[in-house]
Amino acid sequence: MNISRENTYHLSEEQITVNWQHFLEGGSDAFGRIIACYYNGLFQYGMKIHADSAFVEDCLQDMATTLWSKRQQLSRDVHVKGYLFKSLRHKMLRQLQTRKTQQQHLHLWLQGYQPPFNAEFSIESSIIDSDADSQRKQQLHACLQQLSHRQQEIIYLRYFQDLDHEQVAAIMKLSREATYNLLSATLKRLRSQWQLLPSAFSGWILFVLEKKI
Amino acid sequence: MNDQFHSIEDFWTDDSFLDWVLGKDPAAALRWEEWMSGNPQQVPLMKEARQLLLSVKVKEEVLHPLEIQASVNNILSQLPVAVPKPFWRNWRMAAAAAGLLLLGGGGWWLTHQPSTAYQAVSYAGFAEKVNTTSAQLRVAMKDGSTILLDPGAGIRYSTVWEHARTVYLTGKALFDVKPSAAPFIVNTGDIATTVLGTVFSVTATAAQQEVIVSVQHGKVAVKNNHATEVILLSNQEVSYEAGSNSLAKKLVPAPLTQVNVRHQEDFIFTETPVTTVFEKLAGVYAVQINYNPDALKSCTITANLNQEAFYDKLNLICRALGLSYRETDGQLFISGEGCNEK
Repeated sequence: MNISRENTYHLSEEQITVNWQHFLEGGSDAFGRIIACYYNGLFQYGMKIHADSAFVEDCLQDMATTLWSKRQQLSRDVHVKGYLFKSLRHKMLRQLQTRKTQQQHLHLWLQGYQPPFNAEFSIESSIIDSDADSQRKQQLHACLQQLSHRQQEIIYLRYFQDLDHEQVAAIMKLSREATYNLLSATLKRLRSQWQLLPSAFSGWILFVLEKKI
Repeated sequence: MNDQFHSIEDFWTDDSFLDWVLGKDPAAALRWEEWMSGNPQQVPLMKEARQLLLSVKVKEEVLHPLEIQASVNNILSQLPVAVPKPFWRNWRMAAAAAGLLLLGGGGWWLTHQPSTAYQAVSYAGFAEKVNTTSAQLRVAMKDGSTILLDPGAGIRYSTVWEHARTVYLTGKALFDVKPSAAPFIVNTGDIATTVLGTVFSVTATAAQQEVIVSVQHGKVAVKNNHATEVILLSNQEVSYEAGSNSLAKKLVPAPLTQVNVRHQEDFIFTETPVTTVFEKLAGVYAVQINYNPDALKSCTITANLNQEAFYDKLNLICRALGLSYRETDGQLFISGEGCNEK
């Protein structure tokens, strides 16, 4: 599930740390490098929450301005990527919430409001797939499409944005435990709908097939 | 790493497994090699978990690096700034008042300048340099290019991108651009000038709403907001008025020689066919001169034209032979009866 595409503005973990320090001390160049490094990832994530590129860009701008203004209060030891994703999500939620309440003439911030999330998953097929393989992949695809917003989001953050458990928990404002439960419930759901054979048995079948090849 | 994996999701929730499959940690690959030799009976399940994980994709249109650069520049330019910005705050007004001149080539940098002669302001990912002295001022760029600022002139450029070569200019400046694969772009109001050749020289004037870009050496592309693009060669210029779409190309008023005229006798002609003279003019000034060689084949010139500027040379030749010329799209077209055989 990895998005292993070339990132022109990629920074190593050390570079991120150094640039983050510079940014906290008022270095706008360093800030620009950090934003550039994660811009594509943040943009893609934002588009899953609300598929309007102008809106996502506005929220990114807003997020950057806020971060810049409060840089003196930010921690040096923060996980930068996770923090940016969390900030963007928060900005988008606020904006979407404001829109919604304005439309409904309500002026309240609904606690625990969770944004929609729509990722378009697909399964890459391969010419060496056996019939069983491709059938299995189709089933997996169908399952992925049926996941709830939250389930899609956790799968996306964990497997496509390569964020660890702790980051995902912080971004989605869940406890570590709740995050773990959500992920494992999601995977269980995938498996149940997937109609897997008992895994030991399926492993044995694959093992036999592999021996034949 | 768990020792027991009973199902695919056991693998999918294992951090070490994800580090390996998602390629985050190169050392994880080694650990899993070891694991495989120790747990041969679980290898098929592990392989299936890995294969499935890798075959799931998400549909996304990845942003082009230049789009990202533009967006980040935009973000940076809108940040609230703590440092004063005496120049760029008023830079549009400054642009209206000042002419804009870019020149290139070696040997321009004869004037010594004290290094504190400019205001160097850095904010929101941009460096700004404004020449506050009454003499020209040299600014060295990271890529090796050099910019000579006239008094009152200023440049602004992004410091975020190591190799980006985009400069925002107002006032007059001479540019000596280092050859590189990355284009060198000079932005002036609505007009962007991109250097396409390696050795170049441009003259651009920004007065009120008008910008004139003129090339002395090399090749540049000039583009306005409506994305109309004109390619300019040596000794060609284009003028642009805000709000108009047209970029009309013509020859500069005073074309410069493009090659070293080393020998004094270069423009001394004795009974020289005029076609040879035109070829020489075209070659030395890199200007395209169109004529009918058959009509002009018996015309000759005897003159010393070493001191005259390009148009004076041309006028003298044409007057002597009863020819006329017109200029269209940056090229010259000669017309006339031709000469009688003697």
